[in-house]
Amino acid sequence: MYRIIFISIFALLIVEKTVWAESAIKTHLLMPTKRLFSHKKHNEVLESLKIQCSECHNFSIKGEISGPLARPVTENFLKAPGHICHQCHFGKVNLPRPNQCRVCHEASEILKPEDHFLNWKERHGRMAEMDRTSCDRCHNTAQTCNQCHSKVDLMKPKVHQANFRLFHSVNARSNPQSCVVCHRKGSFCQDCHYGKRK
Amino acid sequence: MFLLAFIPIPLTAYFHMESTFSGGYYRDIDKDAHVPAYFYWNFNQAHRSGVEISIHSGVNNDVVFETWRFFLYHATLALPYKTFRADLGRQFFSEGFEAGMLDGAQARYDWSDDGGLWCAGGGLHSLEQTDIDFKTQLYGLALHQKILTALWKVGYFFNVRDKKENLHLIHGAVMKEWQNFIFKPSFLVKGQVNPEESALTQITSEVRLHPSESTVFTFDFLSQRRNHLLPDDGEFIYGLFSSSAQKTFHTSLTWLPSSHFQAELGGWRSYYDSRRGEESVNRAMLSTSWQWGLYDLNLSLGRMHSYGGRVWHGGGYLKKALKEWADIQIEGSVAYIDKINSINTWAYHVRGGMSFKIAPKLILSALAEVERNHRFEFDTRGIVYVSHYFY
Repeated sequence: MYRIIFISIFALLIVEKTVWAESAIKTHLLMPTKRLFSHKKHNEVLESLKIQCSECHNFSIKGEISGPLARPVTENFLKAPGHICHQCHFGKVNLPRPNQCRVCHEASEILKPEDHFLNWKERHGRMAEMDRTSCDRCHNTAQTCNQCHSKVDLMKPKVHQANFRLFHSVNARSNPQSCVVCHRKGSFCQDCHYGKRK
Repeated sequence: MFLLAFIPIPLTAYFHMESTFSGGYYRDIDKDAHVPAYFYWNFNQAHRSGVEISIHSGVNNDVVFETWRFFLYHATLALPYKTFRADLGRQFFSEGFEAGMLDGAQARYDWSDDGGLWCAGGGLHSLEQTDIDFKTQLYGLALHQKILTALWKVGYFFNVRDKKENLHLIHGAVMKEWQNFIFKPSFLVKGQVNPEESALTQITSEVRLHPSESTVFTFDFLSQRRNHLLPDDGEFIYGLFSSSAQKTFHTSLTWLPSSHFQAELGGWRSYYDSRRGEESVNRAMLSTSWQWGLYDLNLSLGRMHSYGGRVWHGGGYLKKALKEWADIQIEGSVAYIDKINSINTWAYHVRGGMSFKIAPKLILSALAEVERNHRFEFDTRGIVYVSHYFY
């Protein structure tokens, strides 16, 4: 028995140290950086923000090829580091989109900060009130809040689980405060309980 | 109107436009056919000066059952100047212990990275209300400042109802983290006081610990009353069950070995007074989320026990990218319900379908849904979902 527990823990540690760590490296960009970034479209904005060429294209990235005296200056050598986009997009420039990470990152789920996995559905309100600036780094807060708090779409429900219709009464009795965050009028209950929706 | 929303508008500044249509077909228990349809159109345009216009609107025949209604749920003009920003118009409002829709103005000024001022004023109403009225008005401000590495916040609301009743509320909060201390502890305490009653009316607190690099332990407490700021008829459902503040204790253990995998085990215990006396509630939930290559898998298992009955429920969601332009998704859930009104039954639900990226920013999803429970032996519905993002 102890042997099984020991092997399980050992296997878990191996998985944690290798599989998770390896997969975490992938950034899931929508397309290669070359295609994502257009100089033509950015020139005017960079000028208005007084950002010079050398702030992105500098010698902080070292080429892999060695020359006889020094490293040859190749196109790759002057390539801007991948994370340089964040210098502007995390604070200087906010795009009017619900989630600006999705402009470049396809699997934005993996970019979520740690606290978004900690009972976030119930905690997000109080955390957002304490530190709105943190939300603004990735989200256009007005749009993001509206996605669930105002926009109702029963064809694509985002808040309630499937089968909720059947056990909503048990849930309402277990946490009545959670219902009234969105549903405040008696007419909402009456639609079904007075027989309009069947 | 839906097709018109796809037409790109030639604009010179940053803008974002999102048009979504969702529609379905189903037959109810009396075999009557229904075709619910939702259309949403969001438009945001930001000028280089930072001035931003946002309009979020929707038309549907399903929020008010089988009645076409237009909903304007956000319409603002944002005026920023350096670290000052004012948002004028209809907007979501959340501060203290309250959340709702505000027809008015919110403004924010940050005098440093560590401190600032927020203020708001206008007509307040529930999220479901579409008409503009100023029967309930709210005026308030809040200050936040980092002092001794802790974030402190204090705020005040003045609420007028039908020009008759006035309400004054004060709230305060403090949040602190110790990143270099053992278990990296952090805490948050927030409270609200009604100075006329000289009582602490609502409170929430949270403690977080990191026993290891990949595990987080959370404990929080919430004592929440009905929303003070909304009209008396604004919290119908809460009044159906509870006649007192609802007190909830929650604890959870979260395992986060990587950004691709998370698992959380949580438990809640709540108390409140109802017409039949004190009621207590237990909830427990185990959930996992795993993004692995082309797969996205979410699983959950929960139990709930209140005066209304007992529920065991579990479910999963799997999404797999087939090609760059197509993915397949399936979700299923099962629940066993033992309700106080003698309904003891199993319920099943499956929804599956495919999404296609027809153009770089045009996504079409076609889904089918099957449901079986104590009302429907075999209920099906078809759903079409079209989203267009333009920016």
